[in-house]
Amino acid sequence: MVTNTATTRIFGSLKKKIIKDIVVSFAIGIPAAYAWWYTFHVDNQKKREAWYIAYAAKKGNEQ
Amino acid sequence: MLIMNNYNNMFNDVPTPWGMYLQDSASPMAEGMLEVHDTVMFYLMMMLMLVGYLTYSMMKFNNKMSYKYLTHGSLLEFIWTLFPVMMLLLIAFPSFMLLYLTDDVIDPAMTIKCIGLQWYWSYEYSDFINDNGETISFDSYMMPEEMLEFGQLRLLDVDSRVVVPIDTHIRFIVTGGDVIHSFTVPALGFKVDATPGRLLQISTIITREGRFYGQCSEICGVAHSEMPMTIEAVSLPKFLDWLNEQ
Ligand SMILES: [Cu+2]
Repeated sequence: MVTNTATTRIFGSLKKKIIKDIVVSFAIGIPAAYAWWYTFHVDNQKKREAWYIAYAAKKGNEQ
Repeated sequence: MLIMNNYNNMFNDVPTPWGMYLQDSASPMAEGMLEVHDTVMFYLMMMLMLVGYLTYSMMKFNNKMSYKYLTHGSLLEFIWTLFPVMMLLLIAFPSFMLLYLTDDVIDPAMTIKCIGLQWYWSYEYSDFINDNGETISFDSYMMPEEMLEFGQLRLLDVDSRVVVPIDTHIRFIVTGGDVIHSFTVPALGFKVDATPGRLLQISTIITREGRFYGQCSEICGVAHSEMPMTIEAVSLPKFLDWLNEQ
């Protein structure tokens, strides 16, 4: 390692940045994906199931 | 995302202005399609954030030259090849499963022939015969704008609807009379090309009453946008009443 240059050399910052970028983006991406699934999808599914249960009850009453 | 939820409450059977999600499902097939859509969206969400953050990071943090000395990297390339492959496989499996499930025609209780013509649809109920010994068949034209009644939808309602019973296995046989059309009903998960000289079939079981709309989805001439299809799903007794009137 050369130390007698005018400025101190910087090593490994590139690798560190890539790893940091990938980790951070997954840290945002995975919760975002699960947020989509558990807020929108599951909620929608529950509403649909509830609707069909109510619908089946209504159909049963009419007959 | 929660705002989008308000658009769907099991009665969205038509395209709505600024609608952000798919129409509510009225058949198991359409339900499967919503499921696959949401599954794909799960992976897309992850990738959106991944690519979005990387782009942001490259442009914003530290300096504009942050990846200047990154000219090659075997491990990186390996990762950015393997990751999309994995994502595509995860998307492909549910899609193919649904694709082959929709091909299934399980012992239909009735069959309806749909013939696409320039520019209307002709329907035939081949299982039922009227007093004259003819099968029930009729042409279905779009309601012209000036003849629309209150509550009818412009470019979607037709003069004679296809009436079908709910909770019954129905097979639709689709063909074209002149050029290629496409029989499409989003709420039921239909999209079948009506090709002249060819019969294509699709089967369904409609799970709830309602009117389901669709538009021809294969460009077929000047009035391509004026040959919608309306399917009216009713209970079995109501369907039999309708049948007697024919
Ligand atoms: Cu057409």
